[in-house]
Amino acid sequence: MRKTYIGWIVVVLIVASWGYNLYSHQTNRLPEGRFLSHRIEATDSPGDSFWLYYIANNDDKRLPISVSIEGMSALQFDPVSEYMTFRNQRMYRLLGHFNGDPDNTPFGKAKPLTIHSVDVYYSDGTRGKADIGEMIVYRGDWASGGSISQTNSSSSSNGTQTAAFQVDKPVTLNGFSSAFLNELGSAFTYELHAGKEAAVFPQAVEAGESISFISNFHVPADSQLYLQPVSMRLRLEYSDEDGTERVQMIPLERQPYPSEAAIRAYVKAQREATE
Amino acid sequence: MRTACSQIAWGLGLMLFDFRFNSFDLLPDVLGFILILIGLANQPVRQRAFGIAKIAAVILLVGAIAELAGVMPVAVTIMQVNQYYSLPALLPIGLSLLVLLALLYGICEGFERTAASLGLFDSARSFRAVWNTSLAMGAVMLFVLPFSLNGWHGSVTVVAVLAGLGQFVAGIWLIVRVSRFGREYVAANS
Repeated sequence: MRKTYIGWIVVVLIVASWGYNLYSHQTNRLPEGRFLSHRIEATDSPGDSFWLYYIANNDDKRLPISVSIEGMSALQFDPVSEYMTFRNQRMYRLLGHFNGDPDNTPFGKAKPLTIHSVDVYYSDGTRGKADIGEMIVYRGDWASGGSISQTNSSSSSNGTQTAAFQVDKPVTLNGFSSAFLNELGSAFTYELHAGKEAAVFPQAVEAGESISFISNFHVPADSQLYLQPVSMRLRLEYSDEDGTERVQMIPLERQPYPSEAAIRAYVKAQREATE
Repeated sequence: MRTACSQIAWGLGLMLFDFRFNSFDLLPDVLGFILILIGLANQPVRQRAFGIAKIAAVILLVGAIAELAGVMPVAVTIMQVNQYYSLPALLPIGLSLLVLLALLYGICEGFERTAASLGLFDSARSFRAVWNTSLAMGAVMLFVLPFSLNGWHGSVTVVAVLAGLGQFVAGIWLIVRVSRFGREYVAANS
């Protein structure tokens, strides 16, 4: 009699284990693999690069093989690589980089391009357009002939990023901007100093003075921005002594590093959105 | 009886050990299941449990032939952690484990009853102990197996390795026990 009870308990445990895991497996699946919603600013200067992040179920065989953007032949993507593994999903990423000859169009003359989707060739042989969020590509030559040169930059694991610049010739700082500053709101904080004082605009800065920049991302785990990769090109706008308007780019990256719980919440939201 | 027991013992041995040379199994399971079936068919004492073992051996034989012929993909083992994320990969492992348990049950139960009918109670207890061990290890495997669907690969692998080791030891124990029973049967009937 005792053996029968033990036998039934074992059977119930095994059936419960399969039932729970099959249910959990089904309810924690992404409806389909997809790119995260990015916020990317990039320049079309040779060497500029950014990451695209793709998330799929662990057993999904359909992965992006190559990505391209219509009309941007100078932009190429490296093969997809695994970035993070979770219980039911994996995150992959592809590095996009601009190659080719430098564009000699003066910066500001060519209108920036705004891109929301990319052309993707998948491992199962299919092609399609995929939403990537928002990507803004600034065009033109911003790097040559400036009066400000970057002296160093750093980033730490807590999200703090710094940059320092040397003013070679007298300039007037006119502004500081990014397409995503308003959208990020309090999730992104920064300080910009010209000399020892906080920068104001317009502000004249003498040759030999330094400009320093420090920033941080504070994105709570329950925020919609939490799983949003951000690649910013902050633009320090200034004019030279002769009045020529120029831009000094400050690149900033926020790579997603989600927890298991954040991925579960993301999957749940995606499932609810498709139901 | 001695020959029949020897055939079953050899069959179990071929099934238990895998010696692979360039991915070719030098001790194919197909041969093992055929030997087990011949051994079971040659048993002088008819037991209902041997019938269960025969059915299980036929199912496993068909699976092994299909695998050998390339009709079915080579079964992944529980140790290949990256291979069993999906249900289609996991289900054959679970089902083959169940059928294997049925085979072991049939052999152990059949010999236990035969031994008991001859008054060989030590042998009968021994076969019961082998079956209990195999059942416990198989139950542990069946319990942990589906957790790999949800990414518990590290824990599943550790438990599966230990349970697999237990099953391997129980398998060797059964081979020794069946071989010895062949001799005991002859001695008891002489």
